[in-house]
Amino acid sequence: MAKTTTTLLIGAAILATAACSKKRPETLPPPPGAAVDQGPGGPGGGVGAVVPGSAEDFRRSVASDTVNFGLDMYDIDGTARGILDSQADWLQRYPNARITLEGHCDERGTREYNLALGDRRANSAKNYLVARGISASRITTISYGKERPAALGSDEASYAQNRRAVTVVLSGGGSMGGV
Amino acid sequence: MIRTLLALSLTLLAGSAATAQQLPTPDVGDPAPAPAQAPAAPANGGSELVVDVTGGISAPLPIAIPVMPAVSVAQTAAGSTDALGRQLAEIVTNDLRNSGLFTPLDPSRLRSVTFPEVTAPAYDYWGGTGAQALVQGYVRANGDGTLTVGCYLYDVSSRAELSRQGFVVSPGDWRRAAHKCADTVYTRLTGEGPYFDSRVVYVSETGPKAKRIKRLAIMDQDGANHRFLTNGQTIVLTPRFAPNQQSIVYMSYLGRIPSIYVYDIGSGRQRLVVRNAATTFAPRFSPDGRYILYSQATGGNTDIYRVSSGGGAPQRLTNAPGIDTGGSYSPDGRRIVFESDRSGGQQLYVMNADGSNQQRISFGGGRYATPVWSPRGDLIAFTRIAGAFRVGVMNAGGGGEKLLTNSWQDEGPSWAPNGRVLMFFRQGRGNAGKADLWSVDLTGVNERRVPTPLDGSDPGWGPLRP
Amino acid sequence: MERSEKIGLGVAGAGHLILFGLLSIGFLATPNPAKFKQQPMEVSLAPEVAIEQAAPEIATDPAQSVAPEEGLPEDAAPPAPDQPAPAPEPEPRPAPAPPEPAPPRPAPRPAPAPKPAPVRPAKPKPAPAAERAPARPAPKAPAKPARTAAPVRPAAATRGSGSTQTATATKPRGSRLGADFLKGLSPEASNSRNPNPPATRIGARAAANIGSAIQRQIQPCANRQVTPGPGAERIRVAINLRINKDGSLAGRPTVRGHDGVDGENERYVARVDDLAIAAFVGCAPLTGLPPELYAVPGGWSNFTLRYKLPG
Repeated sequence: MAKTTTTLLIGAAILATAACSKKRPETLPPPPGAAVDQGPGGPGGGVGAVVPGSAEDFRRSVASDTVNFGLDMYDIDGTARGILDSQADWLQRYPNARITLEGHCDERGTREYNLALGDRRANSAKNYLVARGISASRITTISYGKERPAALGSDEASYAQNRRAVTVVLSGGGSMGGV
Repeated sequence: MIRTLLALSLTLLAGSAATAQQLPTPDVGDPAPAPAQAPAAPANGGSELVVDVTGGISAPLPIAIPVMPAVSVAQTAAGSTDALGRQLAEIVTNDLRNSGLFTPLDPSRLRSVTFPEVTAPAYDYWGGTGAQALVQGYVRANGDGTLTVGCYLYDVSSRAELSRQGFVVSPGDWRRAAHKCADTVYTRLTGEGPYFDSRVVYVSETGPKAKRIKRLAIMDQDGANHRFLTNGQTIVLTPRFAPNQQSIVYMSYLGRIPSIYVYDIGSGRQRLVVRNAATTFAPRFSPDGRYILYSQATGGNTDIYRVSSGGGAPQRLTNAPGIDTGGSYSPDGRRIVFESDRSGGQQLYVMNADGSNQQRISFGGGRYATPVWSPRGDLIAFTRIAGAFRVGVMNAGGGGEKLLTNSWQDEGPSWAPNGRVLMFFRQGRGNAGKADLWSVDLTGVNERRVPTPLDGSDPGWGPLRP
Repeated sequence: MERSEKIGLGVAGAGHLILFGLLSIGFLATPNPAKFKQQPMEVSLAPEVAIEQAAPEIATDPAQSVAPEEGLPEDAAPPAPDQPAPAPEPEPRPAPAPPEPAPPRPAPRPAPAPKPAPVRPAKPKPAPAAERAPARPAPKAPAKPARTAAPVRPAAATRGSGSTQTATATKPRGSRLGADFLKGLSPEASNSRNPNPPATRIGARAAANIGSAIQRQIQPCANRQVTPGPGAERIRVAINLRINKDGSLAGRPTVRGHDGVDGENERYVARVDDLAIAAFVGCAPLTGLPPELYAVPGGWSNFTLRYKLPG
């Protein structure tokens, strides 16, 4: 009896955590200089027209568009390195893409200092990407301080989410929506 | 075994015997209470009698402010004079009460005062009300459309007039006459400088936490005459008045490049102060209006610069690795206090106005941010971060630290023109946490919320209006 | 149980009983704590020694001094070389003490100066009193004629006769009334029966009593004054008050000076001045002050009030 319960529990746990696995890229990106036309009916086209080199493509291709930081920190840790590496890869495939790095802070800091700290974080990520071979002229930085939190709570988990640098691909120089 | 027991017993006995020898100390009883306030004998042995008296309380002063009679009832552009008389008394009452230093008597309980009585108060009646001071005034509509407001202050126990003032104002400024009258009363009865006739510029907030709508707003310090200056489509932050009160400098995300602008209050137009692509923020005017101090973030390092307010080449003032920001001039314009994390965490530093001689002044444990120099020059207000965010003051040389508030997150203090009151903003916790403007007296009493139509943050208290 | 154990228990039990006994004795010996309670004592500070003569109650119109009956002058006993001036005694004792000089006479001072004291008319005016006799035994002391027992006559001195130095030293003599001892006396007899000795100024004790009477009356009004701000409690202001005989203010008080003003509380000085004046005016007029101490120097017609806020 106990063994059945245990098995059920383990099975349920596996099912529950199965959804949390990291999304892998479906297909390997084509080598540089490959065919440009990939029509909507292309093999394995999937959901609608994801224009390669676009922001949508970026979000689907890279590990994450966000790297997080420790309290009052702005250094790139191991996890962040992995994420930025994947971003650097994508950027190298699409040399015309330009990005903005947004630096953000949690609410537990004064307003002006957080503007400076957000700038530090954005620049930290930028410097890493530049070191990985991305031209600095393709990257702009902006700090939002604590003005645009991602998580609204006043707890440590929310704060950890808010301490971040977000990479936003600028599509065609158009606006990215509200400021 | 017996020997052990014997030894133990003897030891016990010896110890107890020693204890028994100690008599309890005699109770000497309470010493006689000293005769209260025994007067000193003639101090110099000379011929004059000297009496010493010490007494007083730390409490708001009871004061009576009856309705101000109109010299004659007339219609003005601001309403009828008798209605104005009521409203003027109300504004004076609210100003004095909100300072925390006065307890105005309930106006509905006070008798109405006739115009002749304004200069000849009925002291017998007022003495019976318990008021120690009395404010009487009158309103008159002048032939040219302006208003004259008289303001008289009396000491009820000495039956003496303490001060009198008259103010001639245009109908649009009628509230300022009441603020000026309240200032006359306040300065005479406290010794402090005036502050009621001043305005506050701040950021009005509304909307969800992730996407707050922020608008520049301006209002009288008592909340009246409130109006919005921007439309909320871009984030705006940290506004400050120019010393001549004709413009406001602030930071905006217009065009997605955080930059600082000067907004002209009269015309409603604004101009960019520094033309470059770097992030510039935290702007303030120098006391003489000639310079704008600001912070610029380049390549992850933030430093303080100043630029001539008319435009021109900026001059860099700090050059340390680390974040140097904030910055507030001393009232004589010769020094600047700012915050820097060059030592590892935010602390306060003072430097000369040209950037030389940078010295740390905060050593209290915890981090210190948002320093603002008092208009009196004696104190520096700050936000102290040690778990909670608390507003406090310290001496201009450092030391003498005193914390004035004790909430979860209070930050961004701004001084009233007389250096006696501080306004700051208080952030609430949680998903729905919002910010409000609050004020507190320098002694830590009278912490109160400043009423605004929506939520608010980043207050910048302007100078006294001339 | 073993025998050794029994012995041990016995010893322990006996020891406990002895211990108990000793402790009980100790408790019994404890003195009653109540006996040690000290009696409260009222302390009034006033210097007793004054350079000038003073009387606690000054007579503006004292009884006329009557010249005492005297016999022929005679040699006084040789005075001790360093006989001290008769200092006023701390306790109110009338004359009986031997070295005391005689009560008021037509002499300016009872100092044992071996000189003929210039005769001064006894006027119905405060003249330096012989001693600060207290009010209570006063009826006895001043009017008393010269005690014949007192060997010292603080008046004309003559040289004694004898061979030794001390014998031939000048000695105080009994007074010879000068030819003009009636000078200045008014022909009318004074009707005053005021037993108090005349004096020029209030004694320190009397001053202390008046001062505390004034302070008690002003205190309730002082307690109502509101402090203007932090640091004001360091300021002490001295204001000069002129009072009418009925206790009311005779004119606008004037500020004499300040203590404790520094850069931080300077702005409150004017307000503290206000508060001091209001403290007095609120409780004016003063009542119950002795009228005879009104006009003398140090009296309450003109005094200084030193006021400060608590803290």
